[in-house]
Amino acid sequence: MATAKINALSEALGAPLPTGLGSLSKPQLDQLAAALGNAKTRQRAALEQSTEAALSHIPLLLRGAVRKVLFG
Amino acid sequence: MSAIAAKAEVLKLARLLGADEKDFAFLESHDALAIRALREQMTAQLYDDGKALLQKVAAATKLTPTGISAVIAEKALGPLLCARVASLVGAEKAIDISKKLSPAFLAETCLHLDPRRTADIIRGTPVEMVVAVSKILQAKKEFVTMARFVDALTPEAIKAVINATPDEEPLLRTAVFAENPALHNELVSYLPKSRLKSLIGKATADAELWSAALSLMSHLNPQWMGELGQLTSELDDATLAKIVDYSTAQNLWAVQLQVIAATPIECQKRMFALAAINTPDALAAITASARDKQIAAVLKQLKPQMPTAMAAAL
Repeated sequence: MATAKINALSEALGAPLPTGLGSLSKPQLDQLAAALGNAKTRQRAALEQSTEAALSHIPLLLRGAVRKVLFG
Repeated sequence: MSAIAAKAEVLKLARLLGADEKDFAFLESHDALAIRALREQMTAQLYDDGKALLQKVAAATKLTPTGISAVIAEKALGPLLCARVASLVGAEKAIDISKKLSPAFLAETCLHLDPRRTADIIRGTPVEMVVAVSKILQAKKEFVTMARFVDALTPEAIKAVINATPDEEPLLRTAVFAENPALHNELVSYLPKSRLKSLIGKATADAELWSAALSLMSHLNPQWMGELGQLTSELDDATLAKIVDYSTAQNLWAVQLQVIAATPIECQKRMFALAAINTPDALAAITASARDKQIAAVLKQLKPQMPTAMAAAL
């Protein structure tokens, strides 16, 4: 974790880049940062979609309690 | 050797990000450990992202009967989210749910699972389920994924997978990607000599496989390195000539020489008597590998077993 250079990837990671990746170019760092951002976006969308879908599989008797846990 | 490790790390990173590994081919020239460190940072980011909702899903799962949780896992959550939620549910509940999931779904989930965060679940999964999932992953040629789990599986589960895998090639392709090279001695010890011989024979099929075999051997202790080196020296001349060519073309002599040095003297003499090794190209490649001081010392130790002309040329 020696590279303290500020770039899109270390900003996305919230930490310096691992030692040994200091020679990555700006476009390469941008590409990795964008890929991480896209993965997070996809994960969030999948999570929101699936929690709603999950409720339809819960027996009616339990659905209220589970909904309360999920959505407050 | 490190090229294989770097390529494997790029593949793991691409899998984590849901991207094509070709997109990150520029990373292959970097140190494998640096790419792994980057993957670990990104894994932490993805596990932390949306953690509040993931924890709520885990809490809801604890309220729900196991059978229903399994239905929800396969029909609503899907493999990616199951992989994220697994470590938050608690090992006992997660194992109970996994017993009700199809091996195909579990195999898909394995692609996204971080074995370090779910080691208790992996160790508690019934061996027969581990074997069923490994067969699916092998059929999909997911050797890198399989390798990520070697560290977390129990010896019993690993032995069961080995016994259920009649072909040694997938075992070699998996072992070479195992993240903890210290495990290589253990993995090799699970194979009877007949299967080790078969593994060596299959590894000679092409340069990539031989490079993988040498990468595996490079992590073995002297006893196992010598054992596999001896099995290699028992191959016929035509096959050994192919190995010489692979080592020359792929710059593998640094490891190849160390493996030869670990074998009994008779095996060393057999290898150096090969016509294929006594060619200008092979000798030049061996000389080049000995620019490294450690390899130069190995070469010096081997010279008494070489034909006079070969020893003089090096």
